[in-house]
Amino acid sequence: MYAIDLSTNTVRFLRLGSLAALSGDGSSALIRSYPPPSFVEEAYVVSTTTSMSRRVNLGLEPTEHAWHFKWEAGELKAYTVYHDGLVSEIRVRTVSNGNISVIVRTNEFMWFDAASVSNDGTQIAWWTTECLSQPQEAATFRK
Amino acid sequence: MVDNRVFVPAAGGCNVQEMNLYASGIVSPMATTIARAYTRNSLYTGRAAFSHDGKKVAFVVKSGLHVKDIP
Repeated sequence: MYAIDLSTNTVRFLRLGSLAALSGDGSSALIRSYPPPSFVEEAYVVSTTTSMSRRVNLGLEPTEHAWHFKWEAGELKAYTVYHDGLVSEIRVRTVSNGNISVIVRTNEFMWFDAASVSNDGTQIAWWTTECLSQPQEAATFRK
Repeated sequence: MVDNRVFVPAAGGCNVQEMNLYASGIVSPMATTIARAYTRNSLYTGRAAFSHDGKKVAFVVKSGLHVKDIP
């Protein structure tokens, strides 16, 4: 990831990974990566002016996936979907202190990457899916 | 001759799935159904995006792009 200062056209290398969010004033970027050999996700907050970075622990559970990040009043928020096999939840995590707010809980399966948050952070939309008819295997014969 | 065949569900996959798009406020959550679609297999996934003012939501389902007002 690189940052460019549009007033000076100065380009700065930040870190390997993909951009997840930029702070409102553009001073910080959240960069996610999946480095080998483990390919376990890492997340860093990187200064766009110095490239200094600090690793952040998102604290996600094994069946929880973050699909959106946003700085709100200086706090980095992670929007996640969590599944436990029976229910799905949309959660908002405050990254700095690990606080979790459960926004939605449903028995329907939620796609982790098929949701959206409005720009002002007041509304959320999400897709669910429910299987109504499973495929049939070849006929099984009883004696 | 009595047909004693029984069909058993295969593990995984889905012939017909119901997809629902919901919207809700974050502070006072109350889900409203925005769209519903039925697809023939589980390969379809949905996408959704709010308009800048948060009054509309655009979504893609079954190869179609739709825009609906948030109630």
